[in-house]
Amino acid sequence: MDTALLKHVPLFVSLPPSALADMAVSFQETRYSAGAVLFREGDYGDRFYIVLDGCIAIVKALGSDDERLLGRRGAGEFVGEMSLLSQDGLRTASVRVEADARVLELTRADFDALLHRYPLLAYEMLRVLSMRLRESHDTAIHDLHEKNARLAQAYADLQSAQARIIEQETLERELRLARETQESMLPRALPRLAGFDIGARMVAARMVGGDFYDLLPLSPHRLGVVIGDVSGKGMPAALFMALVSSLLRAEALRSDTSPEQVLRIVNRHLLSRDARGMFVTVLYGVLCRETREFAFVRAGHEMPLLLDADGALLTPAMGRGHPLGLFPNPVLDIQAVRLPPGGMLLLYTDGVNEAMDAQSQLFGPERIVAAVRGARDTSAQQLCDQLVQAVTTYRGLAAQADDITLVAVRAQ
Amino acid sequence: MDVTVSQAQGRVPVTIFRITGAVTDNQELEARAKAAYEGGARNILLDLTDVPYMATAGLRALHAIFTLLRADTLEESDEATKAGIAAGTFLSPHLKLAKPSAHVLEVLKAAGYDMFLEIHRDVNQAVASF
Repeated sequence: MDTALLKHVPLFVSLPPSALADMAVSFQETRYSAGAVLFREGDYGDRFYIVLDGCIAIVKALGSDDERLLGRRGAGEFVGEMSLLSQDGLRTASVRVEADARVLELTRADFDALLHRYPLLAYEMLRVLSMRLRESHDTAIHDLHEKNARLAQAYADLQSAQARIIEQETLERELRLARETQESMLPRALPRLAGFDIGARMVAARMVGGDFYDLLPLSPHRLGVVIGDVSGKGMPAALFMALVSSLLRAEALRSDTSPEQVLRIVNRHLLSRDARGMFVTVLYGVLCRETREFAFVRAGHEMPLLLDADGALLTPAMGRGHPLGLFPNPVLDIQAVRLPPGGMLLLYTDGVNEAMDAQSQLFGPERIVAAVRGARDTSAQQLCDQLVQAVTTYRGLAAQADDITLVAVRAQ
Repeated sequence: MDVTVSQAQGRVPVTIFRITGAVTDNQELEARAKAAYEGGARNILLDLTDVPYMATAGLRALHAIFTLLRADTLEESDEATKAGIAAGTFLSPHLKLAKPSAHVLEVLKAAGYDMFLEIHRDVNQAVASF
């Protein structure tokens, strides 16, 4: 081969021209196309290579998912020395041609002979190897930094995901506690009034609701009956509901306060607070054991239903009444009905009659009346449970849009 | 629920909100009314032709709009208005309703809203009443 080619190889610049001529006979020039593999990691190494032109890549784990580029060698650089110098003689990486390359190849025996003849070459090679070693360390440290950063990011992501889960769990726990607190505000056991059978049921559309009912033993002969519906749903409605039902209970249990006075006082309390436009529809009445009369005040709430023992409707005409929390001096619908023996009085919230099926058709008061007529022999509590079941069945797959509350009183 | 806003002229300019769908939330309706109010609307007619159902949240929105439009008319005596509401004789000159379904009308009546909001059977008649 041409000695002139060797002159441009940095590894040989310190050698005299005679040495180059001597070496030239040992080298064989070969051309490789891009993509060719000079040798593979783990193979026994029997050649040393010097790149004349083109570009080759040194690759670990060639062809696998973990393939990693260690470096590139171009014109004047050498490759393949490590396996010739190491004890086991195995290639530590693969070499693939990246751009068509011309290389000089030297056999293991010629490589050994060359180093014996020109020890200066060993020093030159060592200098290059030291430089590559430093580069390799820098790369390894850089990789390590990068991996650490990725790991730190993954850890931070995991921590924030965990924090979100904990936050969610805390919120759910608090909602459960809120629900329990709200349920504890409803009468635990329904008070009794001789001559009447009483039932009640509330099913919130969400974890907590804005509906409420209460039964207040005002005396052995008089029972206060309350049902209410706060405008809205969820936590704001639940908090407002807690306020309203507490105020109502406190005012109703004072002696000599009429239902109308109770609602007017509660209304004043509500208006004295900025409740962000919230209001409540309420029906509060007093059931008298002796007269069987239910004297009630309706503040914007649905009219109660009254049916006699034969299922005939006795509900009086609706008067006019404002909800509480809107106006300083609301109009209230003040009425009284008498429960005939076997008659059923049913108080409910709009979640019952306005329950919608998948086609957005309302359950309607007619279905409530039909349920009452069909439950002549059941208890007041069973009627409430059956109505909840009927609404649930009617709704089908449609979501429960509003809280459902029922209070039933049957005269015996 | 969708709201389409248009303008009409009675004796005063009237902004018509044609609402389509069940009114189960107060926030959107209140926000639309506030935006209209800030754009100069002082008289609003809610066309309820296509409202099959109105929850208490809808009633809350109606009251909020009633209050919003009332706040701007200081020349109207607040005491007289309060007395009118207490007597069930005050009807808002700024917020009116048109064409509620039988069920929605029942809801409005049960909550006593017919005592402070005029309810018309016809949109043109409602516009002319402003």
